[in-house]
Amino acid sequence: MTSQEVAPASDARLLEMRDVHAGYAEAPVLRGASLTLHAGERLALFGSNGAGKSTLLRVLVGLVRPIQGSVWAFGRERTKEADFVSVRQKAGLVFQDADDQLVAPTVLEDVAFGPRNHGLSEDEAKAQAQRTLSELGLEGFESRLTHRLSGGEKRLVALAGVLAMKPEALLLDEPFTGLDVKAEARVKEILAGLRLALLVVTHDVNVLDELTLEGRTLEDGVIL
Amino acid sequence: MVPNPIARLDGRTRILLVLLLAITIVALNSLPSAGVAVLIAVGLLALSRPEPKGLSKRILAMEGILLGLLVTLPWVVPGTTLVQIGPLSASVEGLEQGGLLFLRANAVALTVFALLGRMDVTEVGAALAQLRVPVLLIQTLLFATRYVGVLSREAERGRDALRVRGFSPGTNVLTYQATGWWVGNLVLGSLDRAERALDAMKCRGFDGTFPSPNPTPSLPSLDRAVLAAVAVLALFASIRGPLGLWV
Repeated sequence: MTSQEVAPASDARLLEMRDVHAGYAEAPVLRGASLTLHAGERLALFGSNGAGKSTLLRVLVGLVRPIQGSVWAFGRERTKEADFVSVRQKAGLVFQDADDQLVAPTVLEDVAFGPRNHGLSEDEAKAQAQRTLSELGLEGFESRLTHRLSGGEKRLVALAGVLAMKPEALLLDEPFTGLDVKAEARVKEILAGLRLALLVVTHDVNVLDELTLEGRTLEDGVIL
Repeated sequence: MVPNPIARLDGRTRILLVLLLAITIVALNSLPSAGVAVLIAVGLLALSRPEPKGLSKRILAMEGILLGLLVTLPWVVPGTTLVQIGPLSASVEGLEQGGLLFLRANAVALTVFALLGRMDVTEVGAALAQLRVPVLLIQTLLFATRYVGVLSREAERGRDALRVRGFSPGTNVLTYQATGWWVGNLVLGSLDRAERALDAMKCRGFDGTFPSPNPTPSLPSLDRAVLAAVAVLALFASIRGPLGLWV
């Protein structure tokens, strides 16, 4: 699968934030940010340290509630925790630090965790996890202990855990930071081959070409 | 505005006073004496000019636990029946014991709030060191307060990790399992963090021992006088019989 086969952006809006203010009330890091992610759209989000890129991703999946403004996902406005449970199944967020993402003791249990939350039985979830691991070239990792993986392996398993949920959109917070050249190339290869809407927070301008992303910049709390 | 007289006492004096008063209060075994102890503690608290917000939170947390005791004790202590509900009976003795416990615990806690409430933890640590408390214990106290916030953030991150994977808690096996993982990760994460913190300390010349504290200044005479006076009072309060305060 190559990036050329990616479906063109359609009009369907998957995720949208309108005029969002978020962060600490006395010093909000987002101050009127608006962003839309359409089905199949692939965006890169740039911005300096502390610009609020991570906060923006967390607002989209309801881990951070805006002080002001609204969040829309998959056709309706989302305000309460209960509204976001289904959003998080269709919009997978990959944290910057994989250690924050891995929840289970073994790789297979971890990747199966999302599918089990979808309501799959343990066996079905593990089968789906197994398929996802194979797709990412992680066969043989099933019984490895998550906290003993290398940094690059953790990143890949975290990605697998989110992809196993079969999301429609993937939100990634600096997915290449701290990886060696090989691991970075591997993650980029995987992302390039995905037929999903992507929102990638990064400092790496090369991804625009490598992953055919469209750039956006977050500055002074708004999207330019 | 009267200045806070308790703040004028040395940290060591305050810690010793807490110890002295707490032991005395715990030894009290009549309701009136415990009641007087609470009144004294309230007086001390008023002298210490506490911050109302933090104080009310602490007091509420404490009373919640104590009320549970007060309500349950009468039903489990045998004695003269006060109320009978089916096979259960509440005893007068149980109520008395509960009441005594309630008053004593309140008196001790309020004394602690009054004497130590306005000290920050590094001051407490320094005072303990001057009292020759083993440095390892003090460092444990200081690290504990340092890392409470870190741990709670780590717990929060763990909760977020579950949530982004579509988890919402319910009464099912997956919830128990996920909760177990969450707690396990917290323990593992803390262990890792402790190792990293130790490494960082080693890089800054830590060799497993802590430098001995600065030479200890002697206690001011005011402090000595207060300690002596309270010690004498405490002694009388503890003696039963004609010599004691409680005949």
